[in-house]
Amino acid sequence: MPVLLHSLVLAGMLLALAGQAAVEQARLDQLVNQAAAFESGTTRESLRELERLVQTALADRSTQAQMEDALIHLAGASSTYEAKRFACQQLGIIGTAKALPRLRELLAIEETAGIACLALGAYPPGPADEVLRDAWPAATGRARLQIINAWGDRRDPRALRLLSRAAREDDAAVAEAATASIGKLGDVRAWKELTAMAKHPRPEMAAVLLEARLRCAGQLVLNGERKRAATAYESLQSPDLPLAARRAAFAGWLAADPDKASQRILNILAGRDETLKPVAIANLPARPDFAVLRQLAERLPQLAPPLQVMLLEKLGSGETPEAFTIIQGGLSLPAAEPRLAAIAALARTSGERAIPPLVRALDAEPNAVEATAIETALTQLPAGSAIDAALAEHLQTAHQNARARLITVLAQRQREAANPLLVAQLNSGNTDAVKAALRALAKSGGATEAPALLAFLAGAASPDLQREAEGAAGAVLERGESKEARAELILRQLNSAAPDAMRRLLPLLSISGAPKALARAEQALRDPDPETREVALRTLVDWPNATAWDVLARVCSQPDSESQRQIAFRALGRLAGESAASQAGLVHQTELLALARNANDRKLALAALSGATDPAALKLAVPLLADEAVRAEAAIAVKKIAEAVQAKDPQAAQSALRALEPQK
Amino acid sequence: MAAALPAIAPGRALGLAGSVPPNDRIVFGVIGFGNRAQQIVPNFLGLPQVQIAAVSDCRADRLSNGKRVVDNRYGNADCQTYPDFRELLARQDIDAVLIATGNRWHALGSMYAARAGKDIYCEKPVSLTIHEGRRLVRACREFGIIYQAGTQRRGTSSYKFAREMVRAGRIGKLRKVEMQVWTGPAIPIAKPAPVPEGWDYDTWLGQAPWIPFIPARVNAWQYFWDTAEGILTDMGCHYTDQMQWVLGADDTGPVEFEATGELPDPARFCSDTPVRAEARCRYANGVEGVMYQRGAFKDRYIRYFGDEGWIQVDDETDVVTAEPKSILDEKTSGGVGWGDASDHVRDLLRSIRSRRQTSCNPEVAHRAITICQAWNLSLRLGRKLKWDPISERFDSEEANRMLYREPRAPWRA
Repeated sequence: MPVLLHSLVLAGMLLALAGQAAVEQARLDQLVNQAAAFESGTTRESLRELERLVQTALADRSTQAQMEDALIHLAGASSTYEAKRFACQQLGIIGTAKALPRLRELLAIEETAGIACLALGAYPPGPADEVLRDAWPAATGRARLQIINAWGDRRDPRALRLLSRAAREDDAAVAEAATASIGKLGDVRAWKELTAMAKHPRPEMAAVLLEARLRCAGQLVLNGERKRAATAYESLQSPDLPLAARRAAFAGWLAADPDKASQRILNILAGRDETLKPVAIANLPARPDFAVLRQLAERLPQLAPPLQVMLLEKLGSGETPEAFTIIQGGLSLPAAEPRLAAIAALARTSGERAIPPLVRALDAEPNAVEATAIETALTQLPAGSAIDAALAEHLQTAHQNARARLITVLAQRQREAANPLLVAQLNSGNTDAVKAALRALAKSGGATEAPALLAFLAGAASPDLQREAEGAAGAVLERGESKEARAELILRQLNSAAPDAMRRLLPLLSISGAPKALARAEQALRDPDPETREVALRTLVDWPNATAWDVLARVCSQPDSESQRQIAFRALGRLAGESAASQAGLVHQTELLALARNANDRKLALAALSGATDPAALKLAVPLLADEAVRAEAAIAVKKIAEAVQAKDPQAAQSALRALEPQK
Repeated sequence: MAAALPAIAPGRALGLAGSVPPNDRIVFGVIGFGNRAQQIVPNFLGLPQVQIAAVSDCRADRLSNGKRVVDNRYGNADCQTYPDFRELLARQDIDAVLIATGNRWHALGSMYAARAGKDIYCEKPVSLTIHEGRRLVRACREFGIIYQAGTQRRGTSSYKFAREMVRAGRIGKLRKVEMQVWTGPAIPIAKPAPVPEGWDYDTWLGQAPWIPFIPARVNAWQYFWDTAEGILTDMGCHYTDQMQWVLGADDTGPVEFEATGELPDPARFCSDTPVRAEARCRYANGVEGVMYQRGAFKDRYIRYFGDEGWIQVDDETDVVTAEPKSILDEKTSGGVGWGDASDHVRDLLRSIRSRRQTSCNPEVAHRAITICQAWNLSLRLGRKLKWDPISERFDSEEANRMLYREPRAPWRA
C-alpha cells in the first residue's frame, strides 16, 4: 500500500478510535497481542498504531489509563524481548506508578534491566527511585551497573549508602560506576564520602575518584552550596593533578567563591604559569572593579595575542570608562586578531563614545577586513538620533576612505532619513564618497531625490560616476509612483540638458515607458547628431512595452544603415515574442515576417511566433517549412503552436503536425 | 592500555620538514573510522601541528583501514590500534581525540574523553537527546575540556559572508530563516543476521537499547530513533547552527516548536524516522525558523528573509544568491567551502593552545541540535511545544520525559 494511502487509512482508524471516550478494548487487545509477538524482520504496523494511540492518549487523558494497562501487559513475560523494549519506551512517556511493579520485574532480569531503566529514567523522582533501590539486592551482572548508573543520573540521595558499599567492592566495573555516581549525587554527604575515599584511595580508582570529586563540586555550585564547593575546589588545586583537572578545578574555584575571584585571577595573570591564564581570563567577573581593570590594562600588551583577544572579548561592552579605555587600547595592538576583537567589543557599547575611536581607526586606512568590521560595528551601534548626529558630524571631518564607509553606515542606519545627507554628498567632490552616496540612494532614494540624481547624471564627468549615477537614477525611477510621473522627471531634466548630458539621460526614458517619454525618444531619433540618434534607438530597443512598435517598425523599413535595421528588427522580435499570446500578437508576427529580409530574420521571427496561441499563427509558420534555410526553426514553431492550440482547434493542429511528418 | 607506546616521531620523519617541533604537536587519537572519518581525517593529517597517533573502532575492518590511512600519510607503521576506545583514552601521550562514530556515541564518547582529560573534535549531531547535550556541556566545563563540534560551516566563506550581510542590515530586519534538508530514505524490513566476524556489536550499539544485528539497519543507523534521529537532526543541525549564529542566539534558542512529518510505511519498512517533514520554530523576538525535509540531497540551502531582501547559501555548491543583487557586490571571491574543514580544525588547535572557547563549543553545538531534537519531539508527540531556553524545559510533561534516555549499561554519561 502506498505510504500516503496507508497513512490516510491509519489516520481514519485513529480518528474513529479517538472519537470514542475510550479505545475499543477488543481492538486494543488485538493490537497488543500482535505487538507481543514482534521481532525484527516482521511488520511494525501494530507498534506504529500503538504509538499513535499513545499520542492520542496524551491529548485525551481519559484513554491514558487504558493505554498504560495495555503497555504494562505488553511488557509482560509472554511478550518477546523486542515487544518489551517497545512497551518500556512508551511507558517512559506515559507510565505512572501503576507500571512500576512491571518495571521492577524487568529490572531484576539482566537481559531486560536496560530497557526497564529506559522507562524508569523518564519517571519523576519518588516511587521510581524506590523501585531502583529495592531491586538492588537481587540484581546481577549488568543489571547492577544499570541501577548504579541510574542512581547517579537521577541524583537519588537515598542511594548514597548503597553506592558507598558498591564503590568498595572488588569488582572494578561496579566500584568505578558507583564512585562516578556518588559524584553525580553532588550533595554535601556525597562530597564527604568522596573525601573519605580520597584519604585511602585504591590506585586503580584514582582517575574515577578525581572525576567524581570534580563532578560533585560542580553540582554543589549548582545546588547553591558555594562555600562547600569552594572548599571542595580548593582541595583540588594541587599542581600534581592532571592539567585538565587543574584548569577545571581553578575555574570551579573562581565560580564558587566570587568574592576572592578577582585577586586570584590577577595573581595568575601576573605569574609565570601559563596553564591557568586562559582560565583566569575566561572567568573574569562581568563587571570587574576599578583596581582590577587598572591592572588588566597594564597587563594587556604583555599577554599573548590569543589571550589579548580573550580579555577584550571578556570586557564585553566596556561599560565602565576603565574597561572602555582598555578596549580602545586594543585598536592599536600589533596583532590583527586582538584589533578585530576590540572593534567587535566597541560595537557592543551602548553610546556614541564608540564612534571617535572607530572613525579614527577607519581614517588610519585599515585593511579590508578591519574596515568592514568597523563599518559593521558602526552600523550595529544602537539606533538613535544622537548617534546618527555624531556620525554625520564625523562625516564632515573624516578622511576620504573613512567618509565613504561612514556614508554607507548612515544610509544603513537611517534608511530614507539619510537621503538629504546623501544628496548633499553628491557635491562633495570626493569620488569614493559620491559613489557610496549613489549606491545608498539607489536603495533608499525616492521621487524627492530623483531630480538631484538626474542632475548629477547630466553633469557627471567620469564614465565611472556616470555608470553609478545611471544605476542609482534608474533604481529610484523604477520605484516612481507612475510611468507618467517618471517621464515628467526625466523630461524636465532633458529640456535643459546639453547634448552630451542628453545622451546620458535618454536611456532612462525606457524606464518610464509613458507616451510622452516615447515621443521624446522618437524626437531624438531625428536629432541631427548621429551619436544621439544611436542612443535614442538603443533606448527604444529597451522599451518596456509594445507602444514602441510603430517607431521601431519605421526604423526597420527605412534604416540609416543595415546595423540600425538589425538592431530595430531584434527589438521588434522581442516585443513580438512578449505579445505572442495576446490579441495584438498575430498582427505583430505578421508584420515581423513581412519585415524580414533574410534567413536570420526569419529565424528570429519564427522564435517569436512559436509562443503564439492563435490557430491562425499556423498559417504563418507552416509555409516556412518549405524554406530550406529555416526549416528546423519553422518545425519547432509549428510543433509548439500546434500543441498550444490543440484544444482550441484540433483539426488545424493535427493538420500542422502532419506537415511535420517526413514526405514519403 | 597499550603495553608499549611509540615515541613521538620527529617532524622530518613525518614528511613535515621539521616545521613543527615534535613536542609542539598536538597528538590526536581517532575514535571511529567509518565513512565520515575518511572525509574528515585528511583535514587533520594535512596540518603539521597535528599528529595522529592512534585509532579505535569496534569493527576490525575499519580499524585496519584507519591505521593504513594514517600510516600512509606519515610513511611509517606507528599508528596504534584499539578495538576498545577506552584503551586509547588511557594513553597519557594523547592530547585530544577526533570522534567520528555514529551519532549514539557522539556525546557519550565525548564525555568519556572529557573525563580522561582529552580535548575533543566531535562530529555532529553532538548528542542524542537534549539532556545528553546539556550533560556534555557540563562535562566539558567540569573537566576543563576544549571541544569543537564538527558542524564546519562557521569557517566557510559563503556562510560567513551571509552572516555578515544579515547582521549589517543588508536585507533589513531579519524576519525568517528558511532551511532545507533532503527527503529521507525508508529502510526495508529485513531479518536479523549473525554478527560478522571482527565486529564488537555490543560496543557498536553503545547506549542504544539492545536489538538484533540486522545489516540494513546497522548500515543505515541514521534513520532509527534509537541510534540517531533522522535527517532533521543529522543534517539539520548544520543549518540551525547557522541560524543561531546569525541571530546571535548561541546561548539560548527558540521558544516554540512545531513539526509534522511523514513516517515510513511500517508494513514495509523498519526505519522509524520521517522521510519528509516540515518543522517550524519561533524565537522570542519574533523571528521564525522553518526547516523543510524534502527534495534531493543536492537541494540543501539556508535562506534569510529580511523586510528588504534575502540572502541564501546553497549548501551543495556554496553559491550565495541574494535580493537585491547588489548585496553580492560586497562578496570577495575565493575562500574555502565547507568540504574543507581545515579552518574549522585550526580553530580547534588555536583553542587547545590558548584555552579559548572554539567557534562551535559545546554550548553552541548543544543549542543548535536542541532545535532539531525539539522538532523531533513535537513530531513524535503530535503537538506544538513551548520551550523555556533558560530552564530547558517544555510546557509538556511528556516532552520533558523525553529529554533524556538512560544509557544501556555498562556505558554511563
